[in-house]
Amino acid sequence: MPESRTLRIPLPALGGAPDRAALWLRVEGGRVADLWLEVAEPPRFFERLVEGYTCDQAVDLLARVAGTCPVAHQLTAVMAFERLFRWEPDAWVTDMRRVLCCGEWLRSHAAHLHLVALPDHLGCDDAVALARRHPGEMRRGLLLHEVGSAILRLLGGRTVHPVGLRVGGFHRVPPPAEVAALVPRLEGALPETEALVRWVAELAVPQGEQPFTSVALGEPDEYAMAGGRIQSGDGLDIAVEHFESEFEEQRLAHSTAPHVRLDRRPYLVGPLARLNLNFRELPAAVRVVMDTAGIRIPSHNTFHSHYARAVEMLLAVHDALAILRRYELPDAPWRAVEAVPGTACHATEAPRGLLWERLEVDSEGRVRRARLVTPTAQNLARCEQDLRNALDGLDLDRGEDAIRRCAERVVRNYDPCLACATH
Amino acid sequence: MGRATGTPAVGDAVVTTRPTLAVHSLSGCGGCRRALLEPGDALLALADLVELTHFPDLGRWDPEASVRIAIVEGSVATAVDEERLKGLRARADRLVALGVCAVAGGPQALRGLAVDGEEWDRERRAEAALPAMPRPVSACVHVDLDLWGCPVDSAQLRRVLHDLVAGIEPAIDARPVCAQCKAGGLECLLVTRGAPCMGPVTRQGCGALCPAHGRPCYACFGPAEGLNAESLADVFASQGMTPGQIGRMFEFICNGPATFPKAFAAVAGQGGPELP
Repeated sequence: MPESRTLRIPLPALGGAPDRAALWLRVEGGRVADLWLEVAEPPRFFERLVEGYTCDQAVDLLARVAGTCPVAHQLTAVMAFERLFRWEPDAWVTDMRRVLCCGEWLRSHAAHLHLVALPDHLGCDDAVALARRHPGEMRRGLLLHEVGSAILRLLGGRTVHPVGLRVGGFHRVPPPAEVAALVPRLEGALPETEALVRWVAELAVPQGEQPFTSVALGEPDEYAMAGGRIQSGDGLDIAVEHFESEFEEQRLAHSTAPHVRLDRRPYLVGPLARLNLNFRELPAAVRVVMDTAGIRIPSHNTFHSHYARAVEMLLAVHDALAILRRYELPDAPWRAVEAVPGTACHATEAPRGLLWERLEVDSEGRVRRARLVTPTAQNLARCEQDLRNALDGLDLDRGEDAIRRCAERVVRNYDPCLACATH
Repeated sequence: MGRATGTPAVGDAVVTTRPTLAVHSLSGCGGCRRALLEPGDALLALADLVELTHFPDLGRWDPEASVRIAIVEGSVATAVDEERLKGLRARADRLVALGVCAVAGGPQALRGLAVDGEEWDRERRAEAALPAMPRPVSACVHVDLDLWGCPVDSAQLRRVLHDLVAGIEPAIDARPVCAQCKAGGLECLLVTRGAPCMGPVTRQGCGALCPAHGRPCYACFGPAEGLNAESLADVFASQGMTPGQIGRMFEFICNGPATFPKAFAAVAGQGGPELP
């Protein structure tokens, strides 16, 4: 019998509070025999909290699941209700919702890359140290974050829990003067984002490919954000209504956040999964920047998620600019929608990946039951696999700090949101 | 030492006279602490104003440090949270409760309305060692300043921080949203359209954001001073809303006994919010 020991290594930097995540290792003969990620984020029970509220109230309540991607939660619910009510958004509403998604992706990816991920790969202890060593790059990152914020303010008034979306369209028409003021900022952001892609592509990230299945929404003519069919790198191609027959949610003793499996196996959602499946849908101008920067897609190195985030930031600036340059006033920001009872279902691409919601509506137009499947929950099992892979190459006798550093870098790469995952 | 264990960065060896600031999170969506990052390069200005000892979003990690100002976001969900909160209170000169979760319990405190209160999701609560209800920070420790909002307003937060650094007692305007609508020349949605607007009972701070978007206020900034909830509920009733619908207007993002006490007392544990 080889010597066996079990280690619990707190990962305090994940989840905001120090006691929310820990890595458990069972080590036999100097190698990882088993590994699991403890998640202790307290559930807030949003699936139950929303019961009894009207559809429009549910949209605003569900935003509160996530402070970094409230638009994704709002938009998924709004579009689920609209599909149930057999209401089709017009071209203006569809365009503005894509711009809104661009804003949230830009903001979320800019924050993750500059404040959380890049210090790991540039030998800096934290974002403040990164700002000292690479002031120009940090300033550029914060500028792009702010451009994303400006998009959210244009269409939602504020960046966290914005108030613009409603079932049937938007509450407000942005005046042309506000749009005209934003366009030059987006034009200025375009070369900055291109420079960011080139800079990130030169990062020295760990090498090594792993087998995994990418899952993302797919649309025939564009890089999917606000809808589409659920597709995988293994040929899965289903309507969002069939999510529950293919994907299995599991509650585990070691995690207050559920895990989700496809064909009983972990899978990847998020920027790299999207880019792997949808890179052919990138606009030519984005594609050429990605290619000349030397970013090769598809990739099975999960650290290439950073490249994917940078490419998606460029896509976000490009698409928002293209839409807002040809901005025209609509007849009305929203049209009345009549609620009917039934089961509403939709999925969008949150910055962190596929977000799926099912909302049952009663005859009085109130939510009777809800179910949310968030990107971080879907990535947890894949993240455990990735950790096993990373720690396999590490001398486990080097001590807890070395293990923690290695593990944190792997976990951070998934940009996990434990509040969202546990909801 | 890894990042998580709080090795100071090289440049930090300089002796500093800036006041120290720690940003702690309990249970919530994490949106309020993002207000510190806005707008644009506000983060760089913040790093000039204070010494950030603990702010996990930036990789700053030193939760045990004694600080001049501690900001706490989120509601108190577990016994571990409560112990941690007591510790950081003891190490902070001034403690600011940031946002509705910290001030009043947040949306997750809607559990308090459930008929099955104690029974609600007992199994999952047991797994996570959760007490029956998430609590506001002030239920556990002394709070020097409550900043309402879901989310808090970044400009208001910035003013408060500058005041605290300068040793000035921050002034918080608790008049209703109506005052901001009047100041901004916005049409009154309650009067002109009969829209169910919570502005008359809701504290200002958002800039009358929803009325400016043509939609009624939904009370994400908590209770205004001198509010008259019964009177507004009467107006809603005269517009044809049922008591259940009215109750769910008052018990929503901000809820619980610290927010609209009479509404809460009337509806808690009765299977659905209602006003008397």
